[in-house]
Amino acid sequence: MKSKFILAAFFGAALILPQRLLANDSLAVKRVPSDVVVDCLRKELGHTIYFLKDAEDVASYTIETLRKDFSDAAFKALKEKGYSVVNYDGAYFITSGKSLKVASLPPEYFSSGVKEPEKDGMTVLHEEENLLATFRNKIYEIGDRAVPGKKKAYVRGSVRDISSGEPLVGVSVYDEKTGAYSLTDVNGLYRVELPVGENVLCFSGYSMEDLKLNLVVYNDGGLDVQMKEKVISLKGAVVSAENQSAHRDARMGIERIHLATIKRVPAVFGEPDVLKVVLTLPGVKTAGEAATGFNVRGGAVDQNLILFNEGTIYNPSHMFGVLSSFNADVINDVELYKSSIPAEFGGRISSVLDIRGKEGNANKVTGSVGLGLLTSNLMIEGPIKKGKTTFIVGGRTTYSDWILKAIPKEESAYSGGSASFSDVNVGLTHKFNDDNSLHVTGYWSRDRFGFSTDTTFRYSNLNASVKWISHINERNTMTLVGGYDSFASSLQETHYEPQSYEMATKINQGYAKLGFKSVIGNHTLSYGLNGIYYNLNPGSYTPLLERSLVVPVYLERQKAVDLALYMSDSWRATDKLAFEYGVRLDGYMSLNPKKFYFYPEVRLSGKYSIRDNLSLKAGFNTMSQNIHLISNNTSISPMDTWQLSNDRIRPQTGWQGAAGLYWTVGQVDLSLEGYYKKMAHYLDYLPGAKLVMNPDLPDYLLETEGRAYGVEFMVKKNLGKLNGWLSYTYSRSQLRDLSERGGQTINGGQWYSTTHDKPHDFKMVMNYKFTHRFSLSLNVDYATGRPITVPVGKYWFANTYVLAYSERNSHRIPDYFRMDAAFIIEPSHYLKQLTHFSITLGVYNVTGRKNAYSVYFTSNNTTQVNGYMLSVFACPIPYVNLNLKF
Amino acid sequence: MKKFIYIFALSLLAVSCVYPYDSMPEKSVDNIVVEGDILLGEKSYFQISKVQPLDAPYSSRQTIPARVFVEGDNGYSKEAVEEFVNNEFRSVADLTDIKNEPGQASASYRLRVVLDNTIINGVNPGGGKEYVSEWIKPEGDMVLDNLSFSVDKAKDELAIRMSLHSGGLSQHFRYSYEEDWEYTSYLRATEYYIMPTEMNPYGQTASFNASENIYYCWKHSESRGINLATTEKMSESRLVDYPFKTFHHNDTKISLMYRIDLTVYPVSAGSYKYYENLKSISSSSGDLFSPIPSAMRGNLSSVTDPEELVYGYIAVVFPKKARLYISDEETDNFYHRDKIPEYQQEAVSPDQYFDKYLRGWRPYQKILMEGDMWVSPAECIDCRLLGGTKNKPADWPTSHE
Repeated sequence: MKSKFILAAFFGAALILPQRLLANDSLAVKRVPSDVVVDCLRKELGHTIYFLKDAEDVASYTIETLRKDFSDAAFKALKEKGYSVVNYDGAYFITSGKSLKVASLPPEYFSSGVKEPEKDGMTVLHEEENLLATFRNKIYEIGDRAVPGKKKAYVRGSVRDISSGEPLVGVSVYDEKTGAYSLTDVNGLYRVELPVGENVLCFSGYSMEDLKLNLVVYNDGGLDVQMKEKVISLKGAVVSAENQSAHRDARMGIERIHLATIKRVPAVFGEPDVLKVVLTLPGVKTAGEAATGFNVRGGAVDQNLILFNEGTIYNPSHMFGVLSSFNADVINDVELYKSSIPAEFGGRISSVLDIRGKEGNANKVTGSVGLGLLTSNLMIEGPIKKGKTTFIVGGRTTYSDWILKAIPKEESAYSGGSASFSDVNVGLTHKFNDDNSLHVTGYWSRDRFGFSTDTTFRYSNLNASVKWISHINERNTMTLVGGYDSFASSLQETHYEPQSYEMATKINQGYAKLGFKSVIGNHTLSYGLNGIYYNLNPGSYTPLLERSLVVPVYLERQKAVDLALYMSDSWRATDKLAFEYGVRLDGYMSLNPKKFYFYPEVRLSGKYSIRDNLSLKAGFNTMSQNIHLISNNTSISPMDTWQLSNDRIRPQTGWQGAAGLYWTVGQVDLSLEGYYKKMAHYLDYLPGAKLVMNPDLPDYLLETEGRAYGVEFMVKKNLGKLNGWLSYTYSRSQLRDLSERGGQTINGGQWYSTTHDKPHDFKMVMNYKFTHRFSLSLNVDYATGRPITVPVGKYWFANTYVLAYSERNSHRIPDYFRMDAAFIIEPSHYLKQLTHFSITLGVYNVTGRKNAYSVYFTSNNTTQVNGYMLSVFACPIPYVNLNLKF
Repeated sequence: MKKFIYIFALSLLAVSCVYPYDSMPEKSVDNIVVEGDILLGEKSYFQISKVQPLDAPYSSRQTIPARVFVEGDNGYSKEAVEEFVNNEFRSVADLTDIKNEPGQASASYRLRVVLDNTIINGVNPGGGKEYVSEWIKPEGDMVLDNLSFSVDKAKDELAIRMSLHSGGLSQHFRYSYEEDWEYTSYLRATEYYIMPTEMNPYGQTASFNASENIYYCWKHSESRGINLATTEKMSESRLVDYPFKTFHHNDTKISLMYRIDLTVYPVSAGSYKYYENLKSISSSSGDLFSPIPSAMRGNLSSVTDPEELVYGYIAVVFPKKARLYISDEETDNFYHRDKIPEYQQEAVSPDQYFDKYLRGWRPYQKILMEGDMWVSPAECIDCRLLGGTKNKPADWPTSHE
């Protein structure tokens, strides 16, 4: 069929090409496609025609008439096949569908460079129509027609959500004809090089409706775009690493999560939780379902850089890991880099979790109120000055303290306890002009927790940042960020007044990041300078109550400067072949004691597309880390301290090699990624090591060698009534003690499992939308039980049994399986309604499986040793969440 | 509404549960354990054993016969006397000849253990191996100032407190204690039952002599586990009224008369750390915030194989002792015994004696008018059935028999 079509087109073209005919000569095309008809009109009759062929147009045209009547006959034939033909300013515009509008858009649709035609003719004719509905059928002129053009021009702009005005990150922007491709960055900005003339620029990503814009490019120019949600699909449960980016981007191991996903995945007590959704992704594991932090591809918890609006979050959990410390209502999107970590990020050797807050609704003041079993939250956002300044404020608090106090003393061991947390987010965005904007964000969270009246834990995060984004010109963008991060924790103990104390630690860091993005041909360069100044209080121990005899002890503060210069290039060598490579030169200076480390890091990844829907990728990167969590526990505890590299603690370093195969079949994306990772100076601890308030801490640290490898298989369906993903991962994560300590060498110097080494891991997140009002979400998680260190004998000592331990992490707790379900009801869909109300009814751990959180053995000062299994959520936990948007 | 909140709170917090875990790991180590400290000026007890399987019964504990020597770098040497008590070997070194005086107090001491080399039941548990401790100087001196107690009814707590001080800036301590207490049965029996005879087919009752009562009993126990205290990080090495043992209002130990004999001695920082680790790895609560357990090396080693891990940490100390009595009269009526339910007290006629006896009930008081008898379950009447004996400790301050 296709060969016939081409043949017909060839003959058709041959008929009209030889020479210019007279008015009464006959002119004929036979069995040719529409673009040949249009070509004939242009070349034989000299018309200026802008033609946008319908992608589904496979019709053939046969027109035989006099030359003078050929135009009318051709236009008639095209109209019969569903095209619109409009004459405007001497040119014909032929588009599919019934309407046409030449780029006369409201101001917010365009930035500078888009020429706005005068209101006359066809524009006026179509003014009553819905601009958004006809979005596809407009032609946008980019650049000034009068300026002599080059062969190629740059189009740049931002992509935002039409309803909230929030920037959309990770949207694929591409031209199918030339293969030009760009991915919107963290600010929702794109920049793409297109040939001068007619182009069709496609936008796809998130759960947004794919958008195809018809452009006539004369010169460099800007085009801001707003996308709207795809109504027919379930708007939640979409990991937006869409097939376009999978097949066009050279980077690998990147997962994007949109706000809607976070809200749909069932979570314990019904609290929408960013980190719990991250845990549903392949290659991400945790020590326990109520444990702080997560492990990516075999790395330790502290090897993940968690950024929230550019600031570093050192403890991302509330209530010791039951909930994450991020309010889902103020989050715009989340990106997790598991493998190809962009050169602009550094400082951790496993992954980067980049969480970005909303900027605030640019169109109107809106908000939401949420009521859950454990927390309630409030969020308000909107414009302060329309088109210029927006704000967002969000807050969350819990009633857990109130609940604990409500328990009668005689009924529970928790009765003397207390637990509470809150967090507050603020954001302000100001647009000076189309090219310059300022973003100010602030975040504060605090936790207080005590199981008895004698002991109280507290910890808090504080982050503030100011970001200036400037489009220097069509090809260059600059981002300058300055900020301050702080994490503080304390323990207060009052059991025996003379020994009552407060032990506290604190991290202060100030940072500045200057970054540029430049597009030069097929190359997109990113380069810049990052600097962090660390000032740590590794521990202070001070008297608390009046009669305390505790002598204040202050460990020496640790200070350091970490500077990194980076440059990377994203190079689209051909339509099929693309590379991303870069280098990050990290210079770290410990100020007390003075010690300098220099570590050049490499980033390299490449993509080869075998077909449009089948791609191969490979990557390699090296990383280094200068701040380390000192923790000998299975999970992060509030009293774990952080330690900077110095003359006795070397930076952790690591490299990862990965390869993957990506295949898109219809609406389904399949991916298979394998990786191998090596880590050096991974910290482990000597038996009985004292890690807090220890001035000689390095004496108790062990530098081990780590390795991790695995294969991740994922099937993902982003669109349709049924959507979601399922994944299977086989992976290992092991350490080896290379020190020569004879019989004390951990596991005799052999490889041993890390506490998060769970070889088999199956995850599934599925949504089914019955109607616009009702949807069902299902979450399934299976994993091999995590390794634990178990006693291998007992001996009688001090009038009781004491346990004897040998090999580290040689045993496993029972396998983990959990299924959660949530039913979401959204009764109100009317756009003009002032409030929108939604209810989520769910059950966490539907099967009620008693998953082991830990297995432990104890003699409890008796004459026998017993084994116990602690299950945190040992029964189905029903929940209901009410959410009101206004 | 309040009830709803309460039910909701419980359901929220009741989701966390602890279940028995029956899969005991296999024993895979065979280390030697040396327990005991060199208590200068006292009798020191040492016991040598081996690591057992986790599920081995308490009764299967096996000790290894050994020759044990306490040696000083001043030429002192004392071989302990081996005893076989309650099916266990132990060695007793009488070190009462070492005085807390210059010369002896400043010397360093060590323990030397030579295991037996005989085959017992087909195995040779000792194999003739020899172990020595490091040379250790006696830890700094300390004074055990006093023992006291306090009552806090609001916290439902009677706390026993110790006060001590030592000369150094900070010090670590290990302590152990023995307890004796006198208690009574719920009901005081004046009568006891005599089994049926031909003359008295239902049996009969007779009156107790005061000295034959089963109302007053005494019980003894020793502290279990590793007990530690420290003055680390304090401005002076002094503990004042440091609470180390607590009771609730219904604890039988403080019902009538209680006695505690406390032994405290200073230990080195290394020893303290070793015991702190032992305590930690043997009393996990299952949270994820506890250190990953691992074995620490003590201060004993094998002469033939320095790599061999030997469990135990020998301290060399002059121990201090103190004693405290607590009478119920001193506790401001802190102790409250739960009342015996009425259905456990019954009046029966003589023809029901034997039937009740077979059901475990015993007479305790005559009903004079009828010749009937008040009866109650034996454990309400006989204090011995609550674990105690009629063996009154020496020097006991009350006159009860």
